[in-house]
Amino acid sequence: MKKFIFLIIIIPLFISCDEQLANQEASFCQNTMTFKSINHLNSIADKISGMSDFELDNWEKENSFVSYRSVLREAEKEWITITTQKERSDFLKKYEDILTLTDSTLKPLIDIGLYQSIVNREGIYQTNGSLNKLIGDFIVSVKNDEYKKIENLKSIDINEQLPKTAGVKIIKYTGDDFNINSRTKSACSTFVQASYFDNHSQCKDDRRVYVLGKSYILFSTNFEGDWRQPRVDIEVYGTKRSGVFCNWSGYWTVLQYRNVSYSIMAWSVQNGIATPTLISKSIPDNFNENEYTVLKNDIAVGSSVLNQSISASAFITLHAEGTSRGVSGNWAVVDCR
Amino acid sequence: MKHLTILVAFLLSTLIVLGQSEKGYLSNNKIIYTGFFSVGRSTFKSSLSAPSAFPTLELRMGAGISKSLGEIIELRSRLAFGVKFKREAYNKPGQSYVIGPPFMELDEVSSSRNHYFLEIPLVIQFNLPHPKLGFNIGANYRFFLPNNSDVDFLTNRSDLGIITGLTYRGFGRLEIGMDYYFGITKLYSSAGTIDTTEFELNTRNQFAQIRIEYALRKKK
Repeated sequence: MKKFIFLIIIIPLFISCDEQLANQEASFCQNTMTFKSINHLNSIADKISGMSDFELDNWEKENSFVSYRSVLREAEKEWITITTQKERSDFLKKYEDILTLTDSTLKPLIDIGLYQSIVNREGIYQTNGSLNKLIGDFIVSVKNDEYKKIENLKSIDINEQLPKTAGVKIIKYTGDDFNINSRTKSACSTFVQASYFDNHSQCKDDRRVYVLGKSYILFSTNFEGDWRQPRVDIEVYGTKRSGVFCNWSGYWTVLQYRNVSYSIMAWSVQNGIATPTLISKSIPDNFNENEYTVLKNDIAVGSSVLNQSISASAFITLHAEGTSRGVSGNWAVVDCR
Repeated sequence: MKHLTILVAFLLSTLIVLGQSEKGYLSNNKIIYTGFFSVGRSTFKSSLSAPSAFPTLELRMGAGISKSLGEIIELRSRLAFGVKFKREAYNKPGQSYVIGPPFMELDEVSSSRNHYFLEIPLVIQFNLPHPKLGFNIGANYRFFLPNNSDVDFLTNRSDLGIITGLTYRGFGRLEIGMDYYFGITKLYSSAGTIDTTEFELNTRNQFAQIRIEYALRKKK
């Protein structure tokens, strides 16, 4: 009976959602953002990644949508007003589905700005025919009428075998990838990393090289006010196993990177007006022969923005390859789009 | 660095000569065991001008041993377990960074987690009879314990440096002292380009601490 009532409620919702999609890139149905296709999702992602918090608030109001980001902002406002232990535990109970408290700092369960903006409080967005729910580092997809399969799914333990249920697809979209073959092909975020594990002896001689791309905003002030500069950092570093128990540590080694290119939304300022701009860059190869613990290329992208709150944009595309002396000429490759 | 080496060599040779001239060398050849506790401030010393030294609190406790080499000279060592506590990060996740390149890793490592270590200094202490002050200088070895789930540039690494200090011995079995340590080991070294300008950054540890030692057998 329960199932029947649920179906009676849910089926018309999805029918009406599909109808709304006819002429739009995205529509909003029962507070779930719905994309006509993956291209429309990418198009909306580009649009959103250039918006300030204020613009996003207005955009949500116009579409009667309440995103995960909005709920998180409300929680952050509420958090600073809390004075007692009781209020604190009530707060954590109220928002346990969207954040955790770690070392006195609130940490969202979804930490990529783009996804925070397109999913609802449940972490769900819809693409044509599929419901997608963000859980930890994974996106779980089911067909529109199979919401029940993901409704109560709260976590996925990467140390255990991923749940295998018919019709449920699970994709890792963020976090470190320790795949032995070193290739990381994934959705882009503000932090993308890959590593290559050179397994010499399963102990003392083992080496690992990492290559990563990070997008962030650097804050500074002067007499005019607050400046925020989007930047991109590409890093290569190595670790090795050593000691009686073969534990991992950083070490000095020869590090190199090559074929680094990325595109990302940043800002260009013309006549004092900042407008979002797509920036694409290629970085010259670095075949340095000296030993360091980290080799990096850190560069400003686009213009600084004055007195405007902006957040780091996710990469739209990123390709980078890195190696170290100890990994037998292999390269860790990060590739996202 | 050259001056420091000359100073250390000179001091050690002076102390050895003084020790050999002491009358009571053989008769005072005692071993004393001590309990030890210290609280200190640890910072990163960078080869480039940094916006912060990323200071953190350090605590140590352990057991020491001291062997008299004469009336005024002692050879001291100890085994200490310590913790370098994490500090509040300047660069907070999801917000604009206030510490830029190439110092972001220093902020991250000093704020990401507590780092535990074992430490063994070996110093020669020169004791003045009046006032009851002692000066010491020597080498300090510490080893940051492994943590395979969070490997950073301190994890599972050795750190060797020079330690020097002052001790006041006017409280019977209790001694208080202050130490300063300067690392020789370059723990973090990054290079590359920042906005098309090449850079190279080397970072060492340093710390200052206040120390309390309690002798388990009374000194005469």
